[in-house]
Amino acid sequence: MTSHGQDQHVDVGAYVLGVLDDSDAVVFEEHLNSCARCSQEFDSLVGLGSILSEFSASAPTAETLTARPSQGMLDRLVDEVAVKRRTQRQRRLYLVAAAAALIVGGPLAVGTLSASDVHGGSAELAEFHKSPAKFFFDTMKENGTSGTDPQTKVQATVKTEPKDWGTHVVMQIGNVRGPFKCDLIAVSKNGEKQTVTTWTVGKWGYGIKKPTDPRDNKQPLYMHGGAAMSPQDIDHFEVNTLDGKHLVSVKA
Amino acid sequence: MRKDAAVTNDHPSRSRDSESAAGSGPRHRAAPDEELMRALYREHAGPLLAYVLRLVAGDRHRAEDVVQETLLRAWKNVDQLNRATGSIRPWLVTVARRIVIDSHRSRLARPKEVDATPLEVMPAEDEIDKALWLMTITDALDDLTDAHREVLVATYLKGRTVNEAATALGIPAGTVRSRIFYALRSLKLALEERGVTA
Ligand SMILES: [Zn+2]
Repeated sequence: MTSHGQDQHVDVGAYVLGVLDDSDAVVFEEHLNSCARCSQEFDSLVGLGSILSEFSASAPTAETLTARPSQGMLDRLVDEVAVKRRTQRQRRLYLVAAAAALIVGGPLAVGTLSASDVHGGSAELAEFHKSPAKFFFDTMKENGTSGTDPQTKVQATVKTEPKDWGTHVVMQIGNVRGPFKCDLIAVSKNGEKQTVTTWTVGKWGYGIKKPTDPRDNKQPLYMHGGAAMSPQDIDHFEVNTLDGKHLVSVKA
Repeated sequence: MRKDAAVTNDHPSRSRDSESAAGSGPRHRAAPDEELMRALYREHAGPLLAYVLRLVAGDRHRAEDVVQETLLRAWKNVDQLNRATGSIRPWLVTVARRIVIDSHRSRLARPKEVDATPLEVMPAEDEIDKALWLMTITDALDDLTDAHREVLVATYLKGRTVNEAATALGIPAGTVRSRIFYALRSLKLALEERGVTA
């Protein structure tokens, strides 16, 4: 099995790996000495020997080298996903019901949540779960009012809806960079102030217009809450830091 | 990760998955969560198994359990993983290692303090690098055709000569020699595509 004419060039592979039988290796070495093509090939392949050597040296058993995940594993994974998805949907539903009851006085008041959403786990439901405030903001019919502070450049848009208990207020705020805590205040026409909600703005901020760092958050923040006054009694909204700095005002 | 999709073509059991993931099974199309799980399996299960087997002294059963649990956790945390830049493999390696350590501890049924070894700490960077390297080599080997992979395993990786392997495989020694040559050429390409220079 040693003479194979021009086929001999391919032996460089087995030679690089050191798996040629001794007599064949001797014959090939003679060829290698006089074959430019094989010398070149040897140089290009020799590094693979050490890679494969390291690869196999790290394997505790021979079977490790060729082990493949079983088809059974994929089946089990897909089954698990199906089960988890079902239970998650139930959990979401719980949260939606709980949140809706707290905010608007009963699940049915959230017009966009239909019976089919509840059973189908719709995208809307997922959106709601992710950010109820954004969900309300996006689905509220009115356009809302906006304001940008000339000094701080903070922007806010506020939407309101009348409730038996007062006013449901949803706000989108952007171009704001912390770190600080702040609150949204509803100011009535006779000067009374009520806090609608309180939150924290981190150093990467929200709705950053001109990011200077990849971590800067370009997404605006959505917050919502309630005020114990009717919409027509509200003059404007203010966003202030908790240590008293004024960030932006929005007309009601 | 871009290359991993091509890996499926060479391996029969994985090819089946890629067909169904591509939509030949209508029930898969309807369930993005399952698609995601299939993609995670397709791209990472094999290389991850190669790594985990080395952590558990080749215990196949245990390694499969660890890989399965790791991929499940990846699926559950996919929001978080999507936001991270680059490959999710460092995450997978860290989690798989964590599971191995935890299961080791519970199998020993000892209190935590007694079993607190240096393994407790996060994997060192070079350990992650080593794991990622291992997974890349596995990817590259998966790129080979079955016939090419077979001769490398039958000779070099099993410590046999060409003639011994030819007998074991029942094919001519000349065929083994030429297949080794073309297998190495393909492997070199597959590694280069993944940024590994030989
Ligand atoms: Zn030659």
